[in-house]
Amino acid sequence: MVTGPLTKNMREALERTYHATPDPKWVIAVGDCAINGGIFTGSYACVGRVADVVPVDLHIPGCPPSPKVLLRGLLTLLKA
Amino acid sequence: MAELERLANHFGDIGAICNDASFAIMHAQCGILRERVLRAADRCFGHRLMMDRIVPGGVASDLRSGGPIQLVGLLNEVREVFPRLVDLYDNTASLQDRTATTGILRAELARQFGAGGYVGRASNRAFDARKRPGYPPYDQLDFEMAVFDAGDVNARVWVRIREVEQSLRLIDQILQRLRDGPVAAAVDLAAGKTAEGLGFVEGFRGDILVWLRIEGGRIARCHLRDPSWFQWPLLEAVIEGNIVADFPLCNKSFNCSYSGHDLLVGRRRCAGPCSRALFDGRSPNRRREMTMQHCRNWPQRSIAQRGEDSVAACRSAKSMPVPATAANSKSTRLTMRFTILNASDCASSLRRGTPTS
Repeated sequence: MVTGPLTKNMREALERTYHATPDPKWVIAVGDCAINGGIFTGSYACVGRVADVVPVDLHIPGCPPSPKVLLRGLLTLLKA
Repeated sequence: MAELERLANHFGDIGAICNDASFAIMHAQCGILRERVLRAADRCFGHRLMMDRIVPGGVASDLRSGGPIQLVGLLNEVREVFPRLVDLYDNTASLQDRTATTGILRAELARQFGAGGYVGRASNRAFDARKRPGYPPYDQLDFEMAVFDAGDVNARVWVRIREVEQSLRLIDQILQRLRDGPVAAAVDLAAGKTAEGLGFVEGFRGDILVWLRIEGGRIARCHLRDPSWFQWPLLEAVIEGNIVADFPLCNKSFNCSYSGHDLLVGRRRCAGPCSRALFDGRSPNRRREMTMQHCRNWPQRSIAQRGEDSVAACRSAKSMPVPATAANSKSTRLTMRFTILNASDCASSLRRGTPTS
Protein backbone atom coordinates (compact mmCIF):
# COMPACT_ATOMS: atom_id res chain seq x y z
CA MET A 1 0.00 0.00 0.00
CA VAL A 2 1.48 3.30 -1.09
CA THR A 3 0.10 6.46 0.52
CA GLY A 4 0.75 10.14 -0.02
CA PRO A 5 2.21 11.98 -2.98
CA LEU A 6 5.23 10.28 -4.55
CA THR A 7 8.12 12.63 -3.84
CA LYS A 8 11.39 12.73 -5.72
CA ASN A 9 13.16 11.77 -2.50
CA MET A 10 11.12 8.60 -2.12
CA ARG A 11 11.03 7.45 -5.73
CA GLU A 12 14.09 5.21 -5.51
CA ALA A 13 12.98 3.84 -2.13
CA LEU A 14 9.64 2.84 -3.66
CA GLU A 15 11.29 1.21 -6.68
CA ARG A 16 13.74 -0.72 -4.51
CA THR A 17 11.00 -1.83 -2.14
CA TYR A 18 8.94 -3.04 -5.10
CA HIS A 19 11.83 -5.01 -6.61
CA ALA A 20 12.84 -6.44 -3.21
CA THR A 21 9.36 -7.84 -2.61
CA PRO A 22 8.98 -11.43 -3.92
CA ASP A 23 6.04 -12.45 -6.12
CA PRO A 24 3.12 -12.78 -5.78
CA LYS A 25 2.64 -9.11 -4.92
CA TRP A 26 0.09 -6.37 -5.32
CA VAL A 27 0.54 -2.61 -5.25
CA ILE A 28 -2.34 -0.50 -3.96
CA ALA A 29 -2.31 3.27 -4.35
CA VAL A 30 -4.20 4.54 -1.31
CA GLY A 31 -5.69 8.02 -1.34
CA ASP A 32 -6.00 10.80 -3.89
CA CYS A 33 -2.38 11.92 -3.50
CA ALA A 34 -1.05 8.47 -4.42
CA ILE A 35 -3.50 8.18 -7.30
CA ASN A 36 -2.96 11.54 -8.99
CA GLY A 37 -0.82 13.76 -6.76
CA GLY A 38 -3.82 15.38 -5.05
CA ILE A 39 -3.15 18.90 -3.84
CA PHE A 40 0.57 18.34 -4.45
CA THR A 41 0.07 17.96 -8.22
CA GLY A 42 2.69 20.00 -10.05
CA SER A 43 4.92 20.46 -6.98
CA TYR A 44 8.64 20.70 -7.72
CA ALA A 45 9.23 18.07 -5.03
CA CYS A 46 6.89 15.43 -6.48
CA VAL A 47 7.25 12.85 -9.25
CA GLY A 48 3.54 12.48 -9.89
CA ARG A 49 1.37 9.39 -9.74
CA VAL A 50 2.51 6.19 -8.02
CA ALA A 51 1.37 4.37 -11.20
CA ASP A 52 4.04 6.27 -13.17
CA VAL A 53 6.76 4.46 -11.24
CA VAL A 54 5.44 1.01 -10.27
CA PRO A 55 2.51 -1.01 -11.68
CA VAL A 56 -0.58 -0.40 -9.55
CA ASP A 57 -3.16 -3.18 -9.12
CA LEU A 58 -5.78 -1.17 -7.24
CA HIS A 59 -6.59 2.47 -6.60
CA ILE A 60 -8.51 3.39 -3.45
CA PRO A 61 -9.66 7.03 -3.71
CA GLY A 62 -10.41 9.43 -0.88
CA CYS A 63 -8.81 12.25 1.04
CA PRO A 64 -8.23 10.23 3.10
CA PRO A 65 -10.22 7.06 2.26
CA SER A 66 -12.58 6.06 5.07
CA PRO A 67 -11.92 2.74 6.85
CA LYS A 68 -14.96 1.27 5.07
CA VAL A 69 -13.73 2.26 1.62
CA LEU A 70 -10.30 0.84 2.46
CA LEU A 71 -11.74 -2.50 3.59
CA ARG A 72 -14.07 -2.69 0.60
CA GLY A 73 -11.13 -2.07 -1.72
CA LEU A 74 -8.96 -4.71 -0.10
CA LEU A 75 -11.77 -7.27 -0.16
CA THR A 76 -12.46 -6.51 -3.82
CA LEU A 77 -8.82 -7.20 -4.64
CA LEU A 78 -8.86 -10.48 -2.72
CA LYS A 79 -11.98 -11.63 -4.56
CA ALA A 80 -10.79 -10.56 -8.02
CA MET B 1 -15.49 21.24 15.03
CA ALA B 2 -12.49 22.54 17.01
CA GLU B 3 -13.70 20.80 20.17
CA LEU B 4 -14.49 17.55 18.35
CA GLU B 5 -11.00 17.63 16.91
CA ARG B 6 -9.56 18.26 20.36
CA LEU B 7 -11.55 15.32 21.76
CA ALA B 8 -10.45 12.93 19.00
CA ASN B 9 -6.78 13.84 19.27
CA HIS B 10 -6.66 13.89 23.06
CA PHE B 11 -8.24 10.42 23.15
CA GLY B 12 -5.67 9.24 20.63
CA ASP B 13 -2.80 10.75 22.64
CA ILE B 14 -3.93 9.48 26.06
CA GLY B 15 -4.25 5.97 24.65
CA ALA B 16 -0.96 6.13 22.78
CA ILE B 17 1.00 7.38 25.80
CA CYS B 18 -0.32 4.45 27.86
CA ASN B 19 0.49 2.11 25.00
CA ASP B 20 4.10 3.23 25.16
CA ALA B 21 4.09 1.95 28.73
CA SER B 22 2.73 -1.36 27.31
CA PHE B 23 -0.68 -0.71 28.82
CA ALA B 24 -2.64 -1.74 25.75
CA ILE B 25 -6.15 -1.70 27.20
CA MET B 26 -6.13 2.10 27.53
CA HIS B 27 -4.96 2.36 23.94
CA ALA B 28 -7.79 0.12 22.71
CA GLN B 29 -10.48 1.83 24.80
CA CYS B 30 -9.32 5.34 23.88
CA GLY B 31 -9.17 4.18 20.26
CA ILE B 32 -12.85 3.29 20.43
CA LEU B 33 -13.72 6.73 21.82
CA ARG B 34 -11.61 8.42 19.13
CA GLU B 35 -13.38 6.40 16.44
CA ARG B 36 -16.78 7.39 17.89
CA VAL B 37 -15.82 11.06 17.60
CA LEU B 38 -14.61 10.65 14.02
CA ARG B 39 -17.82 8.89 13.00
CA ALA B 40 -19.92 11.59 14.63
CA ALA B 41 -17.84 14.22 12.77
CA ASP B 42 -18.48 12.39 9.51
CA ARG B 43 -22.22 12.29 10.10
CA CYS B 44 -22.39 15.91 11.25
CA PHE B 45 -19.99 17.59 8.82
CA GLY B 46 -19.38 15.09 6.01
CA HIS B 47 -15.72 14.31 6.76
CA ARG B 48 -14.21 12.16 9.51
CA LEU B 49 -11.28 14.52 10.05
CA MET B 50 -13.34 17.60 9.17
CA MET B 51 -10.89 18.48 6.39
CA ASP B 52 -11.87 21.20 3.89
CA ARG B 53 -14.69 22.31 6.18
CA ILE B 54 -13.27 25.74 6.99
CA VAL B 55 -13.20 28.13 4.05
CA PRO B 56 -12.60 31.87 3.60
CA GLY B 57 -15.66 33.59 5.01
CA GLY B 58 -16.93 30.76 7.20
CA VAL B 59 -17.49 27.02 7.03
CA ALA B 60 -18.25 24.84 4.00
CA SER B 61 -21.36 23.16 5.34
CA ASP B 62 -23.90 23.56 8.10
CA LEU B 63 -24.35 20.95 10.81
CA ARG B 64 -26.38 18.25 9.08
CA SER B 65 -29.91 17.44 10.18
CA GLY B 66 -29.82 15.08 13.12
CA GLY B 67 -26.36 16.42 13.99
CA PRO B 68 -27.23 17.70 17.46
CA ILE B 69 -28.74 14.32 18.38
CA GLN B 70 -25.61 12.55 17.16
CA LEU B 71 -23.44 14.84 19.24
CA VAL B 72 -25.57 14.51 22.37
CA GLY B 73 -25.33 10.73 22.00
CA LEU B 74 -21.55 11.01 21.65
CA LEU B 75 -21.28 13.21 24.74
CA ASN B 76 -23.36 10.75 26.76
CA GLU B 77 -21.20 7.83 25.73
CA VAL B 78 -17.96 9.65 26.52
CA ARG B 79 -19.31 10.79 29.89
CA GLU B 80 -20.14 7.19 30.72
CA VAL B 81 -16.94 5.53 29.53
CA PHE B 82 -14.18 8.10 29.98
CA PRO B 83 -14.29 8.47 33.80
CA ARG B 84 -13.73 4.72 34.11
CA LEU B 85 -10.66 4.98 31.88
CA VAL B 86 -9.39 7.92 33.94
CA ASP B 87 -9.79 5.81 37.11
CA LEU B 88 -7.93 2.97 35.46
CA TYR B 89 -5.12 5.31 34.47
CA ASP B 90 -4.91 6.90 37.88
CA ASN B 91 -5.08 3.67 39.88
CA THR B 92 -2.66 1.49 37.95
CA ALA B 93 0.62 1.64 39.85
CA SER B 94 2.71 0.18 37.01
CA LEU B 95 1.44 2.88 34.65
CA GLN B 96 1.90 5.70 37.16
CA ASP B 97 5.41 4.45 37.75
CA ARG B 98 6.16 5.18 34.09
CA THR B 99 4.44 8.55 33.70
CA ALA B 100 4.87 10.31 37.07
CA THR B 101 8.18 12.22 37.41
CA THR B 102 9.17 11.14 33.87
CA GLY B 103 10.28 13.73 31.31
CA ILE B 104 9.98 16.85 33.43
CA LEU B 105 9.81 20.16 31.59
CA ARG B 106 10.78 23.00 33.89
CA ALA B 107 8.30 25.86 33.99
CA GLU B 108 11.09 28.30 33.24
CA LEU B 109 11.92 26.61 29.92
CA ALA B 110 8.27 26.34 28.93
CA ARG B 111 8.03 30.09 29.49
CA GLN B 112 11.23 30.89 27.64
CA PHE B 113 10.17 28.98 24.57
CA GLY B 114 6.58 30.16 24.70
CA ALA B 115 5.37 26.56 24.72
CA GLY B 116 1.63 26.41 24.17
CA GLY B 117 -0.98 23.71 24.52
CA TYR B 118 -0.68 20.78 26.91
CA VAL B 119 3.12 21.11 26.92
CA GLY B 120 3.02 24.62 28.32
CA ARG B 121 -0.02 24.13 30.55
CA ALA B 122 1.48 21.00 32.17
CA SER B 123 4.46 23.19 33.13
CA ASN B 124 2.48 25.99 34.71
CA ARG B 125 2.28 28.25 31.66
CA ALA B 126 -1.33 29.36 31.90
CA PHE B 127 -1.88 30.28 28.28
CA ASP B 128 -4.77 29.24 26.07
CA ALA B 129 -5.67 31.26 22.97
CA ARG B 130 -9.34 30.56 23.68
CA LYS B 131 -8.97 32.55 26.92
CA ARG B 132 -6.39 35.10 25.88
CA PRO B 133 -6.73 36.91 23.53
CA GLY B 134 -9.97 34.92 23.34
CA TYR B 135 -12.23 34.79 20.33
CA PRO B 136 -15.87 34.00 19.56
CA PRO B 137 -17.63 31.94 20.67
CA TYR B 138 -15.25 31.06 23.52
CA ASP B 139 -15.45 34.54 25.02
CA GLN B 140 -19.08 33.81 25.82
CA LEU B 141 -18.70 30.20 26.95
CA ASP B 142 -17.97 28.84 30.39
CA PHE B 143 -14.87 26.63 30.62
CA GLU B 144 -11.75 26.27 32.70
CA MET B 145 -8.14 26.21 31.62
CA ALA B 146 -6.32 23.08 32.83
CA VAL B 147 -2.96 24.04 34.32
CA PHE B 148 -0.57 21.73 36.19
CA ASP B 149 2.87 22.46 37.56
CA ALA B 150 4.59 19.05 37.71
CA GLY B 151 5.70 19.28 34.06
CA ASP B 152 6.05 15.50 33.70
CA VAL B 153 4.41 13.02 31.31
CA ASN B 154 1.69 12.47 33.92
CA ALA B 155 0.87 16.20 34.00
CA ARG B 156 0.63 16.31 30.21
CA VAL B 157 -1.80 13.39 30.37
CA TRP B 158 -3.86 15.17 33.02
CA VAL B 159 -4.06 18.38 31.02
CA ARG B 160 -5.55 16.31 28.22
CA ILE B 161 -7.96 14.55 30.58
CA ARG B 162 -9.20 17.86 31.96
CA GLU B 163 -9.47 19.31 28.46
CA VAL B 164 -11.59 16.37 27.33
CA GLU B 165 -13.96 17.18 30.21
CA GLN B 166 -14.00 20.86 29.28
CA SER B 167 -14.58 20.09 25.59
CA LEU B 168 -17.66 18.07 26.55
CA ARG B 169 -18.97 21.10 28.50
CA LEU B 170 -18.16 23.38 25.57
CA ILE B 171 -19.92 21.23 22.96
CA ASP B 172 -22.97 21.12 25.26
CA GLN B 173 -23.02 24.90 25.51
CA ILE B 174 -22.42 25.42 21.79
CA LEU B 175 -25.28 23.07 20.90
CA GLN B 176 -27.63 24.96 23.19
CA ARG B 177 -26.73 28.26 21.54
CA LEU B 178 -27.05 27.12 17.93
CA ARG B 179 -29.28 29.36 15.84
CA ASP B 180 -30.42 29.04 12.25
CA GLY B 181 -28.69 31.30 9.78
CA PRO B 182 -25.92 31.52 7.20
CA VAL B 183 -22.66 29.69 8.00
CA ALA B 184 -20.47 31.64 5.60
CA ALA B 185 -20.22 35.17 4.25
CA ALA B 186 -19.59 35.78 0.57
CA VAL B 187 -15.96 36.55 -0.15
CA ASP B 188 -14.95 38.35 -3.31
CA LEU B 189 -11.63 36.90 -4.42
CA ALA B 190 -11.81 38.23 -7.97
CA ALA B 191 -8.66 38.99 -9.92
CA GLY B 192 -7.01 42.25 -8.95
CA LYS B 193 -8.24 42.11 -5.38
CA THR B 194 -5.86 41.80 -2.49
CA ALA B 195 -6.99 40.36 0.80
CA GLU B 196 -5.05 39.69 3.93
CA GLY B 197 -5.87 38.08 7.24
CA LEU B 198 -4.43 36.76 10.44
CA GLY B 199 -5.77 33.80 12.38
CA PHE B 200 -4.85 32.80 15.92
CA VAL B 201 -6.64 29.77 17.36
CA GLU B 202 -6.14 27.12 20.00
CA GLY B 203 -5.70 23.81 18.19
CA PHE B 204 -5.37 20.57 20.11
CA ARG B 205 -1.56 20.93 20.31
CA GLY B 206 -1.65 24.60 21.22
CA ASP B 207 -1.88 28.02 19.62
CA ILE B 208 -1.70 28.11 15.82
CA LEU B 209 -0.89 31.27 13.94
CA VAL B 210 -1.75 31.73 10.29
CA TRP B 211 -1.11 34.79 8.20
CA LEU B 212 -2.30 34.79 4.62
CA ARG B 213 -2.35 37.21 1.72
CA ILE B 214 -4.52 36.52 -1.32
CA GLU B 215 -3.87 38.37 -4.54
CA GLY B 216 -5.95 37.89 -7.66
CA GLY B 217 -7.69 34.84 -6.27
CA ARG B 218 -4.42 33.05 -5.46
CA ILE B 219 -2.37 32.72 -2.30
CA ALA B 220 0.41 35.28 -2.66
CA ARG B 221 2.12 34.78 0.72
CA CYS B 222 1.46 32.62 3.72
CA HIS B 223 3.01 32.11 7.12
CA LEU B 224 1.90 29.12 9.17
CA ARG B 225 3.23 28.69 12.70
CA ASP B 226 2.42 25.33 14.23
CA PRO B 227 2.56 24.92 18.04
CA SER B 228 5.23 22.25 17.57
CA TRP B 229 7.63 24.96 16.50
CA PHE B 230 8.03 25.88 20.17
CA GLN B 231 7.67 22.32 21.49
CA TRP B 232 10.22 20.23 19.57
CA PRO B 233 13.30 21.94 21.07
CA LEU B 234 11.87 21.35 24.55
CA LEU B 235 11.50 17.61 23.99
CA GLU B 236 15.27 17.49 23.75
CA ALA B 237 15.54 19.07 27.20
CA VAL B 238 12.84 16.84 28.65
CA ILE B 239 14.48 13.51 27.80
CA GLU B 240 17.75 14.48 29.48
CA GLY B 241 18.52 12.11 32.37
CA ASN B 242 15.65 9.73 31.56
CA ILE B 243 16.09 6.05 30.76
CA VAL B 244 15.93 5.10 27.07
CA ALA B 245 12.72 3.13 27.58
CA ASP B 246 10.97 6.32 28.69
CA PHE B 247 11.82 8.21 25.52
CA PRO B 248 8.64 7.03 23.72
CA LEU B 249 6.55 8.23 26.66
CA CYS B 250 8.20 11.65 26.64
CA ASN B 251 7.85 11.86 22.88
CA LYS B 252 4.22 10.76 22.79
CA SER B 253 3.29 13.10 25.64
CA PHE B 254 4.51 15.96 23.39
CA ASN B 255 3.10 14.48 20.16
CA CYS B 256 4.72 17.21 18.09
CA SER B 257 3.90 17.56 14.42
CA TYR B 258 6.66 16.82 11.92
CA SER B 259 4.95 18.37 8.93
CA GLY B 260 3.66 21.35 10.92
CA HIS B 261 7.20 22.09 12.00
CA ASP B 262 8.51 21.68 8.46
CA LEU B 263 6.11 24.35 7.22
CA LEU B 264 8.57 26.77 8.80
CA VAL B 265 11.81 24.85 8.42
CA GLY B 266 11.20 24.37 4.72
CA ARG B 267 11.37 28.11 4.31
CA ARG B 268 14.17 28.82 6.74
CA ARG B 269 16.21 25.62 6.51
CA CYS B 270 16.99 25.91 10.19
CA ALA B 271 15.67 24.41 13.42
CA GLY B 272 16.46 27.29 15.72
CA PRO B 273 13.41 29.05 17.15
CA CYS B 274 14.99 32.46 16.71
CA SER B 275 15.26 32.09 12.97
CA ARG B 276 11.78 33.12 12.06
CA ALA B 277 12.31 36.86 12.47
CA LEU B 278 15.84 36.99 11.19
CA PHE B 279 15.66 36.55 7.48
CA ASP B 280 13.19 39.13 6.33
CA GLY B 281 14.86 41.89 4.39
CA ARG B 282 18.21 40.09 4.03
CA SER B 283 19.88 39.28 0.75
CA PRO B 284 19.90 35.61 -0.34
CA ASN B 285 23.66 35.39 0.22
CA ARG B 286 23.42 36.85 3.69
CA ARG B 287 20.57 34.45 4.50
CA ARG B 288 22.64 31.48 3.43
CA GLU B 289 25.55 32.67 5.56
CA MET B 290 23.31 33.21 8.56
CA THR B 291 21.76 29.79 8.19
CA MET B 292 25.11 28.04 7.93
CA GLN B 293 26.46 29.84 10.96
CA HIS B 294 23.32 29.26 12.94
CA CYS B 295 23.04 25.57 12.14
CA ARG B 296 26.70 25.02 12.96
CA ASN B 297 26.39 26.63 16.35
CA TRP B 298 23.00 25.35 17.37
CA PRO B 299 23.70 21.68 18.27
CA GLN B 300 26.58 22.59 20.59
CA ARG B 301 24.55 25.04 22.62
CA SER B 302 22.57 24.07 25.72
CA ILE B 303 18.86 24.77 25.80
CA ALA B 304 19.34 27.82 28.03
CA GLN B 305 22.10 29.13 25.77
CA ARG B 306 19.83 28.72 22.78
CA GLY B 307 17.31 30.94 24.48
CA GLU B 308 20.00 33.57 24.95
CA ASP B 309 21.12 33.14 21.34
CA SER B 310 17.58 33.78 20.24
CA VAL B 311 17.37 37.05 22.13
CA ALA B 312 20.74 38.25 20.88
CA ALA B 313 20.04 37.25 17.31
CA CYS B 314 16.59 38.78 17.31
CA ARG B 315 17.87 42.03 18.79
CA SER B 316 20.49 42.22 16.10
CA ALA B 317 17.82 41.84 13.48
CA LYS B 318 16.79 45.48 13.73
CA SER B 319 13.28 46.59 13.00
CA MET B 320 11.89 43.15 13.81
CA PRO B 321 9.92 42.53 17.01
CA VAL B 322 11.47 40.16 19.53
CA PRO B 323 9.54 36.92 19.03
CA ALA B 324 7.78 35.08 21.77
CA THR B 325 10.50 32.47 22.00
CA ALA B 326 13.10 34.86 23.33
CA ALA B 327 14.71 34.03 26.64
CA ASN B 328 14.08 36.10 29.79
CA SER B 329 10.97 37.50 28.15
CA LYS B 330 7.40 37.44 29.32
CA SER B 331 6.58 35.09 26.54
CA THR B 332 2.83 35.28 26.90
CA ARG B 333 2.86 39.03 26.63
CA LEU B 334 5.20 38.92 23.67
CA THR B 335 3.11 36.33 21.91
CA MET B 336 0.28 38.77 22.25
CA ARG B 337 2.46 41.61 21.04
CA PHE B 338 3.53 39.60 18.04
CA THR B 339 -0.08 38.88 17.26
CA ILE B 340 -1.23 42.42 17.69
CA LEU B 341 1.60 43.82 15.60
CA ASN B 342 0.53 41.65 12.74
CA ALA B 343 -3.11 42.32 13.40
CA SER B 344 -2.63 46.06 13.14
CA ASP B 345 -0.84 45.57 9.84
CA CYS B 346 -3.88 44.00 8.34
CA ALA B 347 -6.51 45.88 10.31
CA SER B 348 -7.28 48.10 7.36
CA SER B 349 -7.97 45.15 5.10
CA LEU B 350 -10.14 43.60 7.81
CA ARG B 351 -12.20 46.73 7.98
CA ARG B 352 -12.82 46.53 4.28
CA GLY B 353 -14.54 43.25 4.92
CA THR B 354 -11.86 41.03 3.44
CA PRO B 355 -11.70 37.46 4.68
CA THR B 356 -9.98 36.33 7.83
CA SER B 357 -9.17 32.79 8.69
